[in-house]
Amino acid sequence: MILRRHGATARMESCREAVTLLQQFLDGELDRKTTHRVAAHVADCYECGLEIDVYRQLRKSLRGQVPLPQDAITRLRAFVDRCESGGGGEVTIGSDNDL
Amino acid sequence: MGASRGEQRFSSFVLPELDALLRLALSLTDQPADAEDLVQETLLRAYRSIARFDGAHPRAWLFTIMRHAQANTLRRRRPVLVADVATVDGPADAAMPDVVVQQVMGDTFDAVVENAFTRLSLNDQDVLRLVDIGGLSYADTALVLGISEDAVTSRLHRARSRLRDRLARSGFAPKPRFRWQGALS
Repeated sequence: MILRRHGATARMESCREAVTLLQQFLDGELDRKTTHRVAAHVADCYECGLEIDVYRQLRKSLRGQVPLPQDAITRLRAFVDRCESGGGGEVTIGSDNDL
Repeated sequence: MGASRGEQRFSSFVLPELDALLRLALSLTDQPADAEDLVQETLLRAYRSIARFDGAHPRAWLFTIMRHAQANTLRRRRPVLVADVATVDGPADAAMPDVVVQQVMGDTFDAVVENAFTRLSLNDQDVLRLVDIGGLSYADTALVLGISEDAVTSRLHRARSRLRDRLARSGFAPKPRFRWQGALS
């Protein structure tokens, strides 16, 4: 029983540590050694794995709410070309600039 | 008729960042046309100041220009009422009440995230835009915002924790086991 309690306490402390590092782990901001430690814990711990899934979904939702219109990207590439060929002096801002 | 060294540098820096620039602009403006105008203004300002750019951290450099451009645009439209984006720490206004969001958009994960995002302080929204939407590193986000990396980490954790709490209250995520207790800055 003591061993089980010790094991449960050790695991909880490891979870507490993992949770404090989850954001940086998600963003690739940890050093390699710590990244491996967190990844190993997350792979092994159901609840921490759930936690990181929530944050991944959250980030995907934030990014996904800003879909990129490809026609706008095409126009912006043309705008960069006009900046370079016009020296930036004659280019005006406006979404309906003709290509 | 090759491009000059300065022109080569400009397109090589900005073209890889167009997607990120447009994504950030779309999150800062109400209309896609306004977002495109904001990116164009950013590109123009960047082109005119390329000689002063040292080549390091192009995305952070462009995002900083964009934030200044947007702040200027907002000040021109509402010179008295709008505070500088970088200094406001209070809750953003014009967030729809939960009950209206549910009626209009349905109770979806994305709707809850979107509504919770609008309820964050402008500082918290800023850091989420730059890291989650703009894809900036913590170091580059610190450069853009003029704060320390520790402060970026702290704000990011706080902002995400608040969104996560809202998801848990709406039933889209389990309750967090641990409360994040980092320092606020």
